[in-house]
Amino acid sequence: MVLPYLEEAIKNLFKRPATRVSFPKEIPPAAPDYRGRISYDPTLCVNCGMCMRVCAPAAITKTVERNEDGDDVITLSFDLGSCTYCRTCADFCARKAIKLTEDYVMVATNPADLIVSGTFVKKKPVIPPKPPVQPLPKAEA
Amino acid sequence: MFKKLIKKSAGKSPWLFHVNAGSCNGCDIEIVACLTPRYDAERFGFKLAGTPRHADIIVVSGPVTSQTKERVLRVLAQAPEPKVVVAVGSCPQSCNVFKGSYSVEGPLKNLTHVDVEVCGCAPKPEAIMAGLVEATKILREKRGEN
Repeated sequence: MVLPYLEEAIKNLFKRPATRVSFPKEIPPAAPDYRGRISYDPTLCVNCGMCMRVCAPAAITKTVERNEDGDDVITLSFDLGSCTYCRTCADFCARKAIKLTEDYVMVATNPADLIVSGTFVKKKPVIPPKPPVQPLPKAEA
Repeated sequence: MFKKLIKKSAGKSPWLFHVNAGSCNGCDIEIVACLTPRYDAERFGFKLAGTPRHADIIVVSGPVTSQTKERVLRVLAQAPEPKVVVAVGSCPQSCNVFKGSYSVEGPLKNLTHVDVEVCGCAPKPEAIMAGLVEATKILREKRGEN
């Protein structure tokens, strides 16, 4: 054959383009069960701290502040720039408060944009007033 | 006028230089996949340069290890200004699981200013492309274009 690639060249003229992703126009969906951006629902959280314990890169931090009523204001912050996206925190979350969504375009020029956090208030326990101490009856000899 | 033409065309075709600062190869594969015909980042004018002296955008992957720290600094020093530093993956941003290791010299922000951060471990090629497009905007700003 004189032109060995002619057949291939003609075929390529009628093939669809190899580029499958028209990225800026549309963001193609991620694979099912893809582990992307973390979503955290503080209303479900019970502050057990299991997610922090299992997190290998220590991406989860908890801050506790006391407000004027004496209640604890607890904030859990997930640093997406530190996360390995292993989903161990979500698997260990007893209340399913942590989920990994399928949003994978996580681009930021400011690192503060990459922190997912949620705040909830832990009420101070109401301690019932103690009953007055009754004097013990004297033991009879 | 000739200079103006060069300036205009250089803004449309930023050249990349990829530095592997001790990466696990995951992000590197995604960066290469980003440049292949399937994702085709070259549509935006990106081109992988062979030397940092030709590069406008420095793409860094991996936590900066003790072995690579000097090389990363050298590459960053060789790149002409204005340059944009893109951190791909969680490692250059925070060292990921290698935090506190004796052989890791902290995240990339300890060494230089990081302009764009792309999260993921490893990020998908689309995410890297979004980061590179963001980097192009910053590059234009730094050059004084709009």
